[in-house]
Amino acid sequence: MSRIWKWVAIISLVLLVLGLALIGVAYATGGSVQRLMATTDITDMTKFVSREQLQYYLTQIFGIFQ
Amino acid sequence: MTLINRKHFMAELRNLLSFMDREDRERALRRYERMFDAAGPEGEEAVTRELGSPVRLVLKLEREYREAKEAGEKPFADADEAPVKAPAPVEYAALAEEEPAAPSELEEPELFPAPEADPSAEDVYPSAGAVLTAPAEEYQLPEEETGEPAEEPEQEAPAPEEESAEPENEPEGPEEEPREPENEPEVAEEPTEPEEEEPASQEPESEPAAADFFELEVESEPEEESPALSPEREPLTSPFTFDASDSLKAEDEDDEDEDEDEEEDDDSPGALRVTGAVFVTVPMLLFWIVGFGLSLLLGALFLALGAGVCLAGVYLARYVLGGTLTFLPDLFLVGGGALVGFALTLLFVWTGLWTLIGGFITVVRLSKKLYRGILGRREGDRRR
Repeated sequence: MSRIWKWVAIISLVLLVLGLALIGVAYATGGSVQRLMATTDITDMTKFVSREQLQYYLTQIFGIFQ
Repeated sequence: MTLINRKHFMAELRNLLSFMDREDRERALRRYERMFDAAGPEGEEAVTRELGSPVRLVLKLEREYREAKEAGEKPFADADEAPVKAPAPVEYAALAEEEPAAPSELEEPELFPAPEADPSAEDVYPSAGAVLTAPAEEYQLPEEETGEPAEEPEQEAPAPEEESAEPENEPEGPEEEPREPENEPEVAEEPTEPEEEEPASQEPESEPAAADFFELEVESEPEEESPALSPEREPLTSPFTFDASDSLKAEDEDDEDEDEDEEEDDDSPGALRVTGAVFVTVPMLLFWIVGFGLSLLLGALFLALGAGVCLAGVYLARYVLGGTLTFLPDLFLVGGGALVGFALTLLFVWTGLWTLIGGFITVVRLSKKLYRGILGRREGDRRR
């Protein structure tokens, strides 16, 4: 178990550092999330679920807390 | 030289000391571990040779253990004291090349706190025991004196006077005997004078050099077990008889242990303990529900998180590889997000699996421990 933990931690850390480094480079070269959302349909979830289904799921989830 | 190494020696010793309590066994093993540590890798062979067969060492330890228990003392209390002095490998290296001294002149070795002396064994097998307990200093005679120790065993044995009267043939004996131990009964045939063959061949089996003795002992241990089972066998002067008798005693001890275990199994568990175990099951049901439920819930939560982050990573990676992003900083941003998503996926998925499996195992182990404590059965006893 501890050996698997070690390798999971190593691989996760490597991926995390690479990912954060890429995000840092992107911000340093003029990129931003706002610009990405404005110029692409990356946040458009209706590509996967319809607007009605999305509304139904959200209502079910947040209905628990009401 | 085919001596067993430290690892094999200690493993066999641990196996043979299974009749002791765990603490006492560890203390006894620690004594010899310290001995090996003090000797270092280069002195490992010398220590192994000095200690001899693990079976014989166990017999000595068993006696020491019983005496300490009867006296109400802590067995092997010297195991935690200052480390013993390591034997010098150089001294033992000369062992294989030089003739051992006469058994009557040998003394107990002072290199170790636990000498190899075995009083009962020496009573039965005096000559072989003396060879085993020979310290290294006794073998460090100058080369011109090596002829003298070789002379004395022949004098003790009922050898003809012609041999001792001819000193010019004696130096040849100590050089040839250790090299060819398998020809021991025919050693007397090797001298240049053929007329001495018949009286010399009537001698009892001559003492082999200590180095060859250990070599032969290690090689012949499996073969000696079958003759050890015959009770009418006469005690031999050969050192091999040590292993045979020791293995016989060890088997008797094993049989006694098995009988004790069977008696314990017959006694336990009692009806009261079974009733207690049944009553404990009721609150244990709650423990199982909480334990298994919590493990399942937490594991599933982490796995769901991992699955969600993994989907996000795949989604972002498709954008990176799809060619829809043309602005390089956007590409870096999405790629970085995908990598972070995969990193979190790995972490969450493994945490979920670990929580799920580890929680189940912990609950089962705790339950087993509790029931074993109630029913009074120890797994270690059953294994023995």
